[in-house]
Amino acid sequence: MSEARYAVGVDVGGTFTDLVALTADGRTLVAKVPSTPGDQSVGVVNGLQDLAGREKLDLPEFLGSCGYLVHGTTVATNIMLEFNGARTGVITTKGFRDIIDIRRNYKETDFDIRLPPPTPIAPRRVRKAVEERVDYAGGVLIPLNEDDVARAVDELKTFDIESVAVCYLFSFLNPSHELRTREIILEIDPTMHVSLSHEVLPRVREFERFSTTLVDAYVTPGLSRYLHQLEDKLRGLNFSGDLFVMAANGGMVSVEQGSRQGVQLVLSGPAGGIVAGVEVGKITGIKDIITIDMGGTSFDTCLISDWTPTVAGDSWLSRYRIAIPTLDIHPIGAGGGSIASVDEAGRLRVGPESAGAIPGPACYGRGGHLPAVTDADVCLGLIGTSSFLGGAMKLDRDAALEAVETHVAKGLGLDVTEAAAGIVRMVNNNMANGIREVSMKRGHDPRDFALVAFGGAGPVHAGRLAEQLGVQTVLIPRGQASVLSAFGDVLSDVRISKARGFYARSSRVDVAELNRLLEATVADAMAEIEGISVEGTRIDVSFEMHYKLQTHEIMVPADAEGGHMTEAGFAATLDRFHDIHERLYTFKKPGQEVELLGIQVDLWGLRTRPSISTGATSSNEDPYVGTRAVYFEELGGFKDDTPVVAGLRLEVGAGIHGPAIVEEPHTTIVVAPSMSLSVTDELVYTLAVEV
Amino acid sequence: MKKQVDAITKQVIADSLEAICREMSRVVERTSVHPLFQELHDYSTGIFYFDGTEVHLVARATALPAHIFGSLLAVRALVEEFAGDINDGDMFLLNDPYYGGSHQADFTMMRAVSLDDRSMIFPSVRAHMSDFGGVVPGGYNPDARDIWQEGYRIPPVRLHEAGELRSDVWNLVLANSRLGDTFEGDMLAIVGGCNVGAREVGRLIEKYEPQGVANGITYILNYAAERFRAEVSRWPDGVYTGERFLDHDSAGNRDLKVAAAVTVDGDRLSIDLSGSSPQSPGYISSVPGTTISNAMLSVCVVLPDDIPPNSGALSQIEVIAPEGSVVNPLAPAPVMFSTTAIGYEVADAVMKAFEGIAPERVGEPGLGFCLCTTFGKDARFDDDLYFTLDFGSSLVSAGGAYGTDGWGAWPASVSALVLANVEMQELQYPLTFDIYEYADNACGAGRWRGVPGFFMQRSVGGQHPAYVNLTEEGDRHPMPGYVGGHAGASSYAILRPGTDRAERITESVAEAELMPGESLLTFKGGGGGWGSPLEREPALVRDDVLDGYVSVEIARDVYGVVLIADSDGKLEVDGQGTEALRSA
Amino acid sequence: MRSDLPYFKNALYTSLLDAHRHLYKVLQSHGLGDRTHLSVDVVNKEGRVEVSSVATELSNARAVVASIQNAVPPLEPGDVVVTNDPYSGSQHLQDHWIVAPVAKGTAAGGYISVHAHLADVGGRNLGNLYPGARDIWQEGVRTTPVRLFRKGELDRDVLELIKLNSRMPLVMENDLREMATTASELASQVGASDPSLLADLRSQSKGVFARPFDGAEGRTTTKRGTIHSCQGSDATVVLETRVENGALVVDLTGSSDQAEPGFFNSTIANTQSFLADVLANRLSGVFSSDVLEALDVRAAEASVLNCSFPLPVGWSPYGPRKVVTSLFQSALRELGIGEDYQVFESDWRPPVHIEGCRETECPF
Repeated sequence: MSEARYAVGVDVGGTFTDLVALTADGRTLVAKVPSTPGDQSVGVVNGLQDLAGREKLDLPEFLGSCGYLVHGTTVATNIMLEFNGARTGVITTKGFRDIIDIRRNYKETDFDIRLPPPTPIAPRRVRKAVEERVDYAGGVLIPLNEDDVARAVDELKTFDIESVAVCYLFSFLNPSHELRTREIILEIDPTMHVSLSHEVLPRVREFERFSTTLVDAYVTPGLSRYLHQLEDKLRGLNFSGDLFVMAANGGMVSVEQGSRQGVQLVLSGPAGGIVAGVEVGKITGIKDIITIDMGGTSFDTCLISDWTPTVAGDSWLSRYRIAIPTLDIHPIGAGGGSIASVDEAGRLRVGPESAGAIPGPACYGRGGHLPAVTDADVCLGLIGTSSFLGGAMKLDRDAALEAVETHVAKGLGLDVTEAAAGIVRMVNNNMANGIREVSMKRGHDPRDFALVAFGGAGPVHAGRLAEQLGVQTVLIPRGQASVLSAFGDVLSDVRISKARGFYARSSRVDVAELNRLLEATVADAMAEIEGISVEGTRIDVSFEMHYKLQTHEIMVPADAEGGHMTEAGFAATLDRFHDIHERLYTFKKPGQEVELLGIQVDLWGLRTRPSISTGATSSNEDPYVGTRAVYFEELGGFKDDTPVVAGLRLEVGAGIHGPAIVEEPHTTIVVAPSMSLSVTDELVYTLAVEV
Repeated sequence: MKKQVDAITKQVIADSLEAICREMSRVVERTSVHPLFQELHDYSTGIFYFDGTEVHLVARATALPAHIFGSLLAVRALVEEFAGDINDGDMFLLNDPYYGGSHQADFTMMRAVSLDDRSMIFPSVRAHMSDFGGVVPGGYNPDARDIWQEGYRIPPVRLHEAGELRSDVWNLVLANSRLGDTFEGDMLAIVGGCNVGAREVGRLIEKYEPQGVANGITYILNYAAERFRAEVSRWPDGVYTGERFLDHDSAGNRDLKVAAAVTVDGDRLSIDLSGSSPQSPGYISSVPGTTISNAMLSVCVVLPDDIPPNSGALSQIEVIAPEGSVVNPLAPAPVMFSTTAIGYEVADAVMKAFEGIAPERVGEPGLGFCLCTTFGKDARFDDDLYFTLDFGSSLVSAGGAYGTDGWGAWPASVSALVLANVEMQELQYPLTFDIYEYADNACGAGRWRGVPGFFMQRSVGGQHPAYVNLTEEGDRHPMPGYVGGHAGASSYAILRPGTDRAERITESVAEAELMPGESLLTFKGGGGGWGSPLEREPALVRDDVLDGYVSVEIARDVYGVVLIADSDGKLEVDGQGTEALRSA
Repeated sequence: MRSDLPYFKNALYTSLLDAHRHLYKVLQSHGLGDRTHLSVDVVNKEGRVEVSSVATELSNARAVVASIQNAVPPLEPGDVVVTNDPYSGSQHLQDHWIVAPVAKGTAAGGYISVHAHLADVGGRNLGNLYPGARDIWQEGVRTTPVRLFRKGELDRDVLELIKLNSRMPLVMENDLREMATTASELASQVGASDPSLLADLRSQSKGVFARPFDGAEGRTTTKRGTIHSCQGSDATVVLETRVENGALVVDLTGSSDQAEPGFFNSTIANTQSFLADVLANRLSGVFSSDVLEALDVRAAEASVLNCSFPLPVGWSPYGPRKVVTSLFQSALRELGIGEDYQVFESDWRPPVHIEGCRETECPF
């Protein structure tokens, strides 16, 4: 490989594939090309071609000098959204083959008994039971009946099954039966993909583990094909650097690892944005932040404490439980596309229905006639009609007004402005309630945090949200808004997460035994990072703990320097558990027995970051590009001459007092009368909110 | 300008109250100790409003409906008992069925937030507590013949006076549970839920002024009332009847009847349960809180999902439950089992009546509960007492509904209950599960069939015997079908299956001793079907045969679907044969 | 009751007896078949029983006051505490203790405690005797120390809790109110009384227990008895009595383990009271803490005469008390300690078969 001059992040979205390249000499290159849903790699290569062109290189030359490439891909996510994964079967413990269908009685509605079941990935006919049983202590109660396994595989083959999830009870404490089952399956059919529950999620709770394993078995074959094709394609184009993919835990993993365990990528979509959000916090020195990502159809929030995003294991996708540790991103059902409606008794509702991208809000002029939040924003002048997507798309304000008039204002007996303002207030209130709920769940008061707002609509609403939450500071990424995820991708570190089941009560924990498990786990993780060029590594160990008889675990950072635990370290970890419990749940019980349910080792492969600057260097052009009428509640209506400022023309250090609108090609910042905006850094705006 | 801001503000306040209920629910979920709360979510949060005259349910979080409608009566009892002596920051507790409770297991914690001179808001949590003294750990005593044999009775009492804990009263309540630490943890959790509710309601009052909050509440109550009346006025006028029987009362009396007459008159709805059986000596008679909750449960299932189930809507329904009957017994009748049986029989009887009103919205609303509690000592953990309420014995009940088969475990209307995992149960209790899955050939047939029946078998591990309290229902009267759908299979339990001491239970057994290694098997018949099985899509019948839920014989005899093997040995529908059979 | 003892002439003691007689007459609860179901006591600030109207519950009175000091905020004038909890000092759940503070700055300080066996506290059986009980909650509800009156105001919540958990709520209410009134009146009476009365009782008491066991120094005797169980296996009581260095040691360590089920277990407070009753009467001593202090009772933890929470104890004041007191009587007689005294009580018999007794001819 010639000298590494570029690091590239590629993020594939539904419409566009975004690319960011950081150059060795500190520049940032950005490209945006249409996504190619049939084969995402086509779009990826097109984008790389675009970047190469900017450097006046041909593609092989450019790729030849790429040190590494980080890919955020939605291939796995799309399989789960479209249900076009592998033909998947299940082999499970006899007597327990319906765990997936019973699904702990989870149903996604309060009273509607007509809600249909989730789309079946593996109906009962392809769930085969075999005789075997491991007990709560990892002992073998019933040995594995190998004939049962062979028979199960033969039966599955009559259904053309190509992927098998092996799900045995307590396999996380004793994996021997699952391991042997894989051997037997591969003896019979070496082409079969096999996911073992103890490898996918070595944790207690069979429903969560089985469901996650089933999803893994379902998505991995397709994802693996895609990643290998992409790698082959890039290698063929002279790429010899490291190729990584973004995982849902907010770190990146090698292609090999990603294609072995696809479930890690299923919820990786928002990860790049969160990594970028952390970077924004780091630039400004603010450690506790809540990110709000408000796009066309979604509003996601993630709580970041001390520059560390919360990681949790309580996600669902397409009604399947995915319990691997993922960034704790909470969808809150409102976005720019959320539709407003008024029912027969005159109640205004915003969402949960969304206009999506097609037909989209009425103002898109793509056939949508129902008023979405974006329409209300356009009615109020918060979003301009000619600056959307950098001017690439003109918005139809008349259509927006008509939609709000017809479907909201009439029903409420209001004029169209009042109705639009009502829609915006309501959606802001719902979002604020959602953020408050998420913070409280983690034991935090949102007022102690700064918001980091991104996504097309995030900065439009962020100031008002902050007001409602009592938050004083909103940070908004500057210049990168349209490619923020790709930007985050290229900044991420390698993160290999390994969990192991370990059950003991605190008074009976054998620290020596614990260390043996830790060492083995660290060794596993180390084996995976081998061959990847990293500048340094860090090992984080955490324990899953709860008080005796509790069933919600807390992830407690453990005092295990380099992956080794001492008696004193264990005592200190127990103390930390009590303290965290108190923060989260208002009380602690230091005298009470604590249960340890599992360990997690996070091996970080740390990379040196190129220094960053933006393409958004300010020019000498006048930032004030005009005025438009914008509605501000506290001014009692429209302010006709609200200044409109081109954000990228502002100098670092410049400040704007509200009321004003600051526009970038891909986003709009609303600065209300009591707020002020300053350019803190080339990469960050700070919106100060009076509370 | 003023007018429109108000309309939106009221809605914003109403939405915020819902959000506060969810926050309270999160606090309870995450701070409680016993799996009944944490894992099973057997608790509910709500916000109540006392306008100086009447108590209203304003908002509730996703939780057990049977809890929160009943809590209305609890808050009402509190207001009556302490009239004029309720102050901001006071926290009250009650569990007594004859004081607005449901059964003693359900503790209702209520905190007072003053709105103005006359009116108050009560954030409230009702939760099923693990143990509260009495003869049997957990309180489900099939032999109970009076209420004192079930557990500690708590009338409305003040636990906190203006925010200050009355520690001796608190300790007195704690002293009447066997599970000291666990119980206290759960009590702290529900207190914490109420405190968070009060704090957030306080913020709302600060922001919108008392009058603003009161306006928001009135708005959402009126809104629900209006939606409710509009919906009812679309239903055909008339008197519709339904009935449902409970197998037995655990005291030797069989076939206890709940009769419901539902009257639709313009935009008014009334439910008269007057034809129901007289109160029974066993522990199944249900107090009005339980009866009304379960009647409302069916109404909520039938109503569109987006009508808020608050007092605005529910106060439009008149429920008549005659005194001295199984649906309104006189003290001191035992009631512990009644929240589910006869509770769900009430819901079923009302639902049956709705067949004539809104057939495409009816279906099973309840659990058809079969009780199984187990207690003993766990040798692994210093012989600690353990106690479990096995929901495995009561899985499953979801019936077919218009457009979907019964699936999962229970219907959506009781999906606030989340089942414990097998692995977690084995870690926490000295029990080993052998079977935990659907049964073959045991679904209530229908155009949309019920969820399949379910087997649970588990054996006692460790060194100590376990004691089992069982009440089986659904042997004589399995889960009903709707609109021509067939009933589910009959339920039963077998103590020590496969041994010469095997004992089949179709009614009750108290403190049955199971020695280490001995097992308990329960079979719960599945949900009933919806519509005639002869109208079921033949391809779906074939799928069911492949999945083992329906046999080839049942396909032919019940569904009128003929299946034949093709040249590869794969089952296919014989279209002509099916048509011939179905038209015969 | 004996009226031939010198301290009977003490006016303070006479007040206690008056109160005792009053309660005996007016309480409506059943089960007051003999004097053992009632006591009136003066307890000082340190928890020392200064004097009791009877000797049957000396250790229990001391234990109840200790629990209250531990569990309830310092009592203020007008406060009245109630408890029935065996693990807070009561002999069994039926016995309700009412404790009122003696006004500060007066002669005695300390407390007046009054206890009586009341009608019903829920649980499995009316009257709270259930041979099959495995734990205390099966016998009835526990009322741990709680203020029934606060600064003279009846606490409605506490009263309602107690009433709601009884099958005979009105009887409970009447009796508790009567006991509270009696205790409060006595508390003000004692507070206002001449301090010398108490000093007189105390010096008489100390006098009796100066060197009472000298004659038996170094001697040992062992008695065995059986507590009958209708649940299957009887419990053995081994009572070894010896005088060591002037102290009277009662060693029960050879007795059976606590039983489950078994409503005949006794708490250590109960066992001490049974023994103190015998000793006080044989020595004609003042019924005070001095009797307890003269006894060195040793019983293994988790044994039938020193049972642990949460075992049931409903039968303790009957079967076990009778066995322990008769063994101890004969031991002291053999050691030549004190004099025999007349016991005016008959075997207590419930009017009906106790539900849960496994014997066809119910022995109780």
